[in-house]
Amino acid sequence: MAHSHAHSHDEGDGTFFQDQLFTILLSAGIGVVAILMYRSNMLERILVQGFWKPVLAGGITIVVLAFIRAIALWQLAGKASPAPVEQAADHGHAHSHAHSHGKEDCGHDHAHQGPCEHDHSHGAKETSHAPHGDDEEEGHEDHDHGWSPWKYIVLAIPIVLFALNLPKNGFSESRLDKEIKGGALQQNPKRLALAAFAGSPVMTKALRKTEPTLRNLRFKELIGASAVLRLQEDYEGDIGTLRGQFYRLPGSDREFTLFRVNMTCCAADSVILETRIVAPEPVDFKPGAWVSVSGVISFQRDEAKKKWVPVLTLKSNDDVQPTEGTTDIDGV
Amino acid sequence: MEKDVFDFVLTFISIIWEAFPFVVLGAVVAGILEEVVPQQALAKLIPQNRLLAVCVGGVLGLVFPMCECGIVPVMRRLLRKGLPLGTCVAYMLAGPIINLVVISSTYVAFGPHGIGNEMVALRVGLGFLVAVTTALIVQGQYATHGNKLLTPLAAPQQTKGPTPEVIAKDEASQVHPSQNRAGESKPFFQRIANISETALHDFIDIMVFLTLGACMAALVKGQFTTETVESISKGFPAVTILGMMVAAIVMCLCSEADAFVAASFTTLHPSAKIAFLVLGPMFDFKLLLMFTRVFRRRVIVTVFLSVFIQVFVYSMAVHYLWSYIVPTPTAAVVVEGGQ
Repeated sequence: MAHSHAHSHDEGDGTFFQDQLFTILLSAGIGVVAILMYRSNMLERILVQGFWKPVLAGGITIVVLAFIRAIALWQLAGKASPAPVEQAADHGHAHSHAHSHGKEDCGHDHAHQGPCEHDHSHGAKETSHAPHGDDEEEGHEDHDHGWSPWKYIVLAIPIVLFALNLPKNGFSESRLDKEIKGGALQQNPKRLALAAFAGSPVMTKALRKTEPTLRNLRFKELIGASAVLRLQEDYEGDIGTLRGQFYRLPGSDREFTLFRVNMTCCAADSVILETRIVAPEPVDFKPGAWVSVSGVISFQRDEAKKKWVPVLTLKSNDDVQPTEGTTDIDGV
Repeated sequence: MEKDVFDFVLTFISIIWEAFPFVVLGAVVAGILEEVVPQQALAKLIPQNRLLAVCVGGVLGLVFPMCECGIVPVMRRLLRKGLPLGTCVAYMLAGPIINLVVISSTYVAFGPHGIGNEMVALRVGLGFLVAVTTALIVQGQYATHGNKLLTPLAAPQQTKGPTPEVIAKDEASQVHPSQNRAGESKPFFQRIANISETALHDFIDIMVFLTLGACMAALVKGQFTTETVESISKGFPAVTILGMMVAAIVMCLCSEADAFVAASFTTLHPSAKIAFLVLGPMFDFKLLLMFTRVFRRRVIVTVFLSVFIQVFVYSMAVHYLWSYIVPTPTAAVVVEGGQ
């Protein structure tokens, strides 16, 4: 029977089976971890919902493949007979041929018609094959079966981290400190003049429309509006309600940042979306606490970042209330 | 320190598990390709003209959509099945950009900024141009160096010039064994077992380097925030574009997600975002390590230099031509101007 080979021939039978055994164990281990992560909701911490089922499917697929490979390897081991190692550069396959190659890997094809006992040459060297049957040689093509323990150590990392219940939920305060830097805001002078002229009904410089619209806001919506001057005008002066996490700004007890971590696919692509909150009295919550805030919408300029920042100005401290946390990405 | 370690683990592990389903998919497709598709069968479908063949590779993602992680094992098997190297490289580079999922996500991310169509057109157009040009360069190298450019695992199976011994053994069939192997009849379990072996082998091979790449990305990303990129690049288009290119290499984002991240850099000029969106799916830390399972150093260096230089040059061109591309000032530019 015909087959093709392109693998390195520098390992013995024992090494081949050792390598295959570790391949099966590590693959199955990773597959099982994927399934357990799905079952334990650990995926919530690192991926958006759309990825959970693909991870589960991937885990099941890998476990099934590892199971099939384990059966095939078991059969192969049963058929393998001790073969004479005729040359120093012995190599390990269940069909146990022993020959040497001038190159690291020749990517060549062998032809075998049924059980064979033959010699053929590679790189001008005579080689000899031990007998092997028709059905045992399939599928070893182009594989480097060299025993490389470092590979398996690397692959064990995700399994070990899962066993340690890592990663934890969400980014640490340290990361938030790096990402959230509340610079001084400068109000649009035109809006400021209008607010003064209109005798703003709130005790702030924010201009409230005489008949404001009540808006249930989302962070993306508000950030999107801040980037477009026309939209800023639409939103400004309305009353907006927004739910997010509390982060105290250094140097002020009346201003804080409300933020949400916007994950598009995974935690690595997370972006922190921020809205500045201005309260009339000092506000104190635990960092990361979930709060709901209602206030007048305005947009102010952060000169340090050279961009517009959405601001909610509260009428009183009753406008900020603790609320339930959520991992619902659609609500960001 | 402890908190930084937790943040590192969060980023590191999320990159791995996000890519995991695609690596599995790629490995399974690779296993099926290896077992079922006869040698050279795919090559017969590709035009003989070199440029046309590379162009076909550039748009193959529309038919076989794969992300950058899954595409590496598939491309390796396609190479072994005799698909021209240029076609494979074009597919590998353009496939993660020119597919319907990524085109849609790019449009959705930039639609609210009023530049959805322009960003999609630029990303797809420049992605195709960079991929095809790079593929042609690599194809030229292949003409000189042959399979020395590839790892043994990726080198095409030999189909020409079998040794006299091989011919003698195959007189009965009159066909070289590597050509009839995938077509020959075998027990069902044997086929499944072969597919599982190839798939597991490729899975392990790619996962190892994906893990190392994710580790590198998470380490660097810990020192690197969106604010950092924005702050170092203010006012200098070349620095801005280079900054975003470095960010693309470091952040190792999936091509389905990167448009949303790019859109979040609200103060940057669209040219810098285009650089980020075109380079990222073609080259980053994790891909660099995964490429080592397919290509020798010469090809990796060529691909990197070609992609990097082209993306920079084209992005600079976009920067200076942006007002012609989008005559009406868009939100992104107006706000950047600080009005």
